[in-house]
Amino acid sequence: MKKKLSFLLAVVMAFTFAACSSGGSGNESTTNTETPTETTQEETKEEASAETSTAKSPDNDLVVAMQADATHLDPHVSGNGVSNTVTNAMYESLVTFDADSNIVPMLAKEWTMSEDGKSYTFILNEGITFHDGEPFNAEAVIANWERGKADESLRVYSQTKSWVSAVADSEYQLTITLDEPNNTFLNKLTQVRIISPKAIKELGKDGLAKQSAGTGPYILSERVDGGYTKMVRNENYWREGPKVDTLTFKVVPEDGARIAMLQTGEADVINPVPPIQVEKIEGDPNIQVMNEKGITYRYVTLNKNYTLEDGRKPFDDVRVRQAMNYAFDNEAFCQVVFKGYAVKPTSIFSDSIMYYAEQTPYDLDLEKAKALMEEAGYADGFPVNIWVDNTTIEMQGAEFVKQQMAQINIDVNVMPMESTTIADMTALPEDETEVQMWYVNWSSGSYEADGSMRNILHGDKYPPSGYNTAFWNNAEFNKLLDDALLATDEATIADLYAQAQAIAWEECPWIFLANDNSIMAQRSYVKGLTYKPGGDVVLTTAELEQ
Amino acid sequence: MLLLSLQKGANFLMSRYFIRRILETIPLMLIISIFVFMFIHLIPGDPARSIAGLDAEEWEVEAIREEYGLNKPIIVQYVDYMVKLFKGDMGRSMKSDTPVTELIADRMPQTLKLVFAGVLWAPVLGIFIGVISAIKHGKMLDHVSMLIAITGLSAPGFWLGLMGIQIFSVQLGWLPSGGLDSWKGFILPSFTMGCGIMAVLARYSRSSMLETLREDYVRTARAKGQKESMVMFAHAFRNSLIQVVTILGLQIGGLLSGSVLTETVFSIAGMGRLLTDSISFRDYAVVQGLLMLFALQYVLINLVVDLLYGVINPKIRLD
Repeated sequence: MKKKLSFLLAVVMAFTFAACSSGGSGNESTTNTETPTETTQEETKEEASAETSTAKSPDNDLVVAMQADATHLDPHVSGNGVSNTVTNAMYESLVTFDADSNIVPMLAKEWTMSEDGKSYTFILNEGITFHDGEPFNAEAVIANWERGKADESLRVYSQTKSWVSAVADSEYQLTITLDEPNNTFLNKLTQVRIISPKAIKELGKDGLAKQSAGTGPYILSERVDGGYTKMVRNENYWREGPKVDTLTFKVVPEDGARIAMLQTGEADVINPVPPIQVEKIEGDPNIQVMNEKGITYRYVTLNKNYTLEDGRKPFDDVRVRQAMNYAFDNEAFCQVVFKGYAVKPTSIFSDSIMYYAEQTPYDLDLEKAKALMEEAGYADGFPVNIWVDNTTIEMQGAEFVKQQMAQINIDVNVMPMESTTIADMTALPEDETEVQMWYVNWSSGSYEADGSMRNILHGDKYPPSGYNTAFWNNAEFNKLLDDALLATDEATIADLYAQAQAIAWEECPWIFLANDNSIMAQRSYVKGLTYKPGGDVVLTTAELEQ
Repeated sequence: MLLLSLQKGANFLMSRYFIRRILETIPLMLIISIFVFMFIHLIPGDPARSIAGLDAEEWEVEAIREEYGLNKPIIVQYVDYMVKLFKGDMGRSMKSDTPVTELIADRMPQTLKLVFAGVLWAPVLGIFIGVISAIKHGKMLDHVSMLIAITGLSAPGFWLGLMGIQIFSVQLGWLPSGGLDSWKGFILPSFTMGCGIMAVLARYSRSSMLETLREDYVRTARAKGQKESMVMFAHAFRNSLIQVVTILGLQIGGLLSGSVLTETVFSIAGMGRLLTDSISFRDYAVVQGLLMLFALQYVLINLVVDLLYGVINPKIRLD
């Protein structure tokens, strides 16, 4: 009896181990272990195409598996990254970004700025119709602006609140006037998606959740909240459009399941691919991994008001803040925590953002770090708490910071918390907040330098007005940001932002950790997609090889 | 005649019992509503901030608080909520700006399908394994059955699900890795869902059956020379079911709210996932609506279980 039992047990265990090991070894023979950190967008694509198989798509329906669902399908209501990816397939804006984050024409074919930088005149493309058959023209754009003016709870309101007027000079010419010059106007305009005026009036946001009324290449056909959003090709699209019959965004929150769906072909594109899972699909001849430059930068804020028991404020001393940066090994961080899918920062924000100016990196120099700590009177270090989201990769990152800071005797206590709780606690004003160090990341979806710095570093942006949780306030920096915003000359803007970056980089209000790459993956038979920095996928000319 | 009046009396008691139980649920649900409301409002986190996004200005956040009445005292918010609830209005989701009833109605079929797929086979197989195990107590079949049960109990649902996907979807390509779009799509989620129930019921029905088999009336039945199959099923099995039905009720009750892991692994847009998404967003109205629904469902299942006792053992309904 015992023998039989042990045999049975052995069979069960063998099955279990086989199952476990199959999790990571599906493509073992071709796994690519090269470090992807230095790979550029072009290189990735070339590399991928060299390995590409000749597999064909079994159907003409493109399926994109995403981690989360769009919060709303009315583009004037929702505004987060996932929602934008979905709504951008149905709605278009006057201008947009290309793959190199340059602003390029879309519904507007050209534009000019007045000398004082306050007025922009747009010449619109002609012959475009909305999904409901209404014509696109200057009046349609004005109706969209007016919708925002009438309802402050809509996101389009904050996107257009600097507009003083919008006037139709002719059917296809529009002049927008601002209250004052603003170098981020065009960046923000990329977010203003144009909806048919008739649909705005008749459908409202509840109707637009069920029916699309944009000018985009796809028309909404079906949606199950939290499940999927299905669209069909717009046969009357005004320029070269998709060759696929349908496009479906499926919500697949579990990372492993998303990868499995790509492997089985149930999904043609997945976004995002978590760094720790990339090796499962790397080297699979049927799959291309897109390792794009990101726009997300990761840092730890150092609250200058943090006070030790003896009354000293370590983060108020720039030498301590610099020492922490010299003691932090960014390359190791990128390798250990992000499996190489992140890069060492060379400025406040990533080089995919407009007006990025390269700074001298803080290379690992423990001796210098220790000397700075000693000079500042903190040779014995101090204890401090770091707040972090309670997801695996974030906690690993914070643990890495703890280990690095221990080298200069700073005793970091990692405090993982749920993201909504942290968002609430970090929104408390200066005299109430308990934040000491916060492991966080930021990105500007409209690729602007101002959006990449103002809300988290400007002196006017202490919580709750912003997220400057370092409570860093540098008058010169503040002025540079304010002046740049009003400037109209490209060279001046670039110079002002470069100076601002240099100041913040030298002053170290944060520990600069890394810039994340955006990792997405697709079946090799998918063609015609454009992957933008920051994880946006443009599906306008999508095609499936059959 | 006497029998008929006894039956009538039993029916009367039964219906009074039934009405009493139904009435009891009202104060219970009110108490639950207070707990549910306080629970979600007292955990830190601000839905207005979640909606507005991190880059929002403070006045934008304040405008959202105003719109949803979040700046009122919590007692006022509770009373407002309950008044609306009694009118059948569960409020609007702050995240998707959709009525909660609509959201739940959209998600419920998926969860019900999933629960049904799990409940369809798991209790039957679990009880069968348990009974066989008890009958063959101490023999090879007993050991094998209990090994299956313990494996089912100890393997976490999400792990089973992911392993199932890896083997049957990725490696073998037999089954889809997610969704409930075809009959094939039901197999893995149903297995993941039902495994735990099957295992629990196998364990309980085995021990319950073993206990019953030791009872005097079973010995008497055997002594009377009844056929072994008759002894097992008419005497032992039926009586051992009481304990099993209780456990079954609890397990099914847990399924509806506990389907979240299966729903996440298999990308099913059901109520469990709606609940977790809404909790992390602090979408108060949705969380409240779902928790109230889950509580009501527990109460109703327990009611059904209590009534089933009467069917299984007529003595109970007179208590």
